[in-house]
Amino acid sequence: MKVKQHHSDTKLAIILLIPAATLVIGLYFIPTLITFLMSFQKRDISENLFEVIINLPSSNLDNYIRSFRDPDWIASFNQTFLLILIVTGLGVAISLGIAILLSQEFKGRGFLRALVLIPWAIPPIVNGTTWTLIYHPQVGTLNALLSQLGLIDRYIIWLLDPLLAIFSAGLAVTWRNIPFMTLFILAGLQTVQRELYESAMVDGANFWQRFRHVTLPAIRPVLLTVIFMQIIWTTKVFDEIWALIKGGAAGTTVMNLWIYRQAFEFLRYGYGSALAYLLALFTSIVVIGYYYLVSKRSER
Amino acid sequence: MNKFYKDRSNQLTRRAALSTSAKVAIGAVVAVGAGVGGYFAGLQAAPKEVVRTVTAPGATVTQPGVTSTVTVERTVERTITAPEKRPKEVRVAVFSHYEDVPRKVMAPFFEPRFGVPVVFETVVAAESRDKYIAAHRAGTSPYDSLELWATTVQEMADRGWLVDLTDWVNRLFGPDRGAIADVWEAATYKGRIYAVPDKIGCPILQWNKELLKEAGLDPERPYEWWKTKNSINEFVEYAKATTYMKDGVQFWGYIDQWGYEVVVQYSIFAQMFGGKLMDTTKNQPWGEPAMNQKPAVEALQWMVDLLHKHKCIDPASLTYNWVFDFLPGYLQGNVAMVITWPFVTHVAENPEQSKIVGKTGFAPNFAKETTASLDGTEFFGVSKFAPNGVEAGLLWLEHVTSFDMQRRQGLHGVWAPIYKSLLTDPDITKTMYEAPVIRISYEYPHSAFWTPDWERWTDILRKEIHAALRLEKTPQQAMDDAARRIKEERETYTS
Repeated sequence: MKVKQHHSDTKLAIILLIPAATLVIGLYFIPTLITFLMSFQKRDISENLFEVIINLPSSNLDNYIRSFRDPDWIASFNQTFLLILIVTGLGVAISLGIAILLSQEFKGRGFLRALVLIPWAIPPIVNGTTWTLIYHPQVGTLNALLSQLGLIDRYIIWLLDPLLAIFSAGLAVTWRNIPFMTLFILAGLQTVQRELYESAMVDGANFWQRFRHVTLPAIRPVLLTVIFMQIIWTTKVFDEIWALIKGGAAGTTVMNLWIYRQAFEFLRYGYGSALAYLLALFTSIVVIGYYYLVSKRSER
Repeated sequence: MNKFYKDRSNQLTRRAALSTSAKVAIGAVVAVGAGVGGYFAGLQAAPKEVVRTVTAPGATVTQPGVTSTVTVERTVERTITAPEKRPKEVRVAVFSHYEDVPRKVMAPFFEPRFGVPVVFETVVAAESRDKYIAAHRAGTSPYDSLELWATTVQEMADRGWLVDLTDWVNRLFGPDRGAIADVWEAATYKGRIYAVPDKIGCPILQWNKELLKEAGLDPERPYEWWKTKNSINEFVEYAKATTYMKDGVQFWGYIDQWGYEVVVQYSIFAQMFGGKLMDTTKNQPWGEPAMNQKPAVEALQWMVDLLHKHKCIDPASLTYNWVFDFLPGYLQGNVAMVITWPFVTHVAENPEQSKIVGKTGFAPNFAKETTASLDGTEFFGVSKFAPNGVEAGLLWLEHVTSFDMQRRQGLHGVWAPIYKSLLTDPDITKTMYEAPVIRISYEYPHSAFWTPDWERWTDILRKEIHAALRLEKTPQQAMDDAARRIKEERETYTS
């Protein structure tokens, strides 16, 4: 009787799982598989997807080999790397500062905590477009502000020089990511025991010493998570770069943008798929690195 | 509703009012007649043939410095074969930046004329390519007729997604298509036509007369440049003289969109120098790279000099990706000269948007060997997967290109009609005063060197032009590299 009941429960579970499983397989697993197979073929958009299967015997590594000779892909890799450094470095430093400030007791703290969330609510493309207005050489608010402060006598072209352009774009991305990082770090700060600070103060530790020897070690796991999430997210940045730089003279592009252009502007599905898998590989290496560091720490 | 269209609707003269009243009255009678007739026709077989004859009016139009005298061009005669089976509707994709004209000006005449309703769907022009490609890739189309950017026609034709319209166009416009401005390059793929133009336009020279006057220059002189060989040198002198700093404000002689759209502007300069970017007469439909030949390289050297030697172009031009990026400087009165789309002549004269009202001039671009511009025509094509059938799509094409609809577009729109005679029609030039300048510009080189892989090769070229403009390569090196990379790319993908 019990065995019969068990069988009918399993059947019901399978039936209930079918719709969700169909969606996952149809919309996630199959496209991932087809894209993977496509990455080994010289595939153009006008060819039938079923041809991917038919043409399997002619698959080769040409797209992957080609990527190592593609100057635009190499440049986009370098610029993505630079963007990661800027967004992660700047973002973590600023967010840590804001989080420490918001962890203090003062009037209006609740309001400020809510205020800091605003950039997170802004869609990335709107953020990018807003920053184009901020950076506009003639009518941009940044040049106007610097000019009124007497810091510049002629306008700065923020998106002209490749290095300045990637830094400017990095600032726009950082601004959007700050709320998330701040909240994460703030949560970490609230787990630090008050007694530790009190003991440090009794021992005569100043603010920097308390931060260096109490706060930082305590929130290190949180910081590690924030840093790795920033790295992963920045490899996927698209909207801000699209809105700010597109294909401007700075020649700045990032990996995700170049993949989009190959696949959807030039319609090179095969090559675009190969590049997408290389980006996925890069992200996977970062994730593996993160797990390695976390597991090493928990072993200790 | 677009601003210009709204503004002009208020400027109704007595003559126009009478004429409009008469047209409305006739229209109402025709509409009622067509409605009743349509009801009965719906019960019977569709008419076999519609014959219509329209005669283009003559015109003499004088602009300061630009005189065009045009007599009757030719008779525009059409013989349309109505579809055997009348479609239940016609579905048309129209661009959002210009939907008022097809929706409000042209559509009211469609159903009375064909007995078929027209249903519009708005598409953002910049997204149209993705939308059309995604649909056609899946073997379907939500639209019978598609509004197309020039960049898209050959690409879609190459993939077999557009209907070959050659015979239909020849029957409609005559094999020489002489009544229409020279705008067929983008629509032609392997000698066959896959789209028809519905509105035309090309970048023209526009300038702030007051800034020229303040610099001690003749503000009327640029009207003459397009007819004068080597006037490009005079342009540079003017740009240098109007580049200065005054009371902490930077004034520039010239400003341009040399960011993402630099290839478009370079096409204009290369043709002024007598050059080409792509020789589309060879290796059709792809063409042979020609940007590394002497005239095109000289044109790029000229751009480099403008930026680094003469220093009379705003260097921020390299970060401006489209017209609205650089327009604020011109409209604020800080820039002397621009080469841009004709609609800007109206924006510059709108006091709500501009501080240079009443101070502007416009003419065809200056010349090196000749003047030159770039064809910015927009088209309509018919999808191979038209849901209501190819005939349904053709009905819209017939309507939108008809002489009377084009005339209405000239009267109510901001883009120019396709018929040459309408570009000098006195009624139209009263408000679309830049139309004669557009007509002249189309009589000189204006190619955009369209090919099915235009998106790809212009991306390579853009990067090499920027390398030259950043002084990382000489113009010759940059253009040699561009030609080599384009060939390599094509060897991989078009072999």
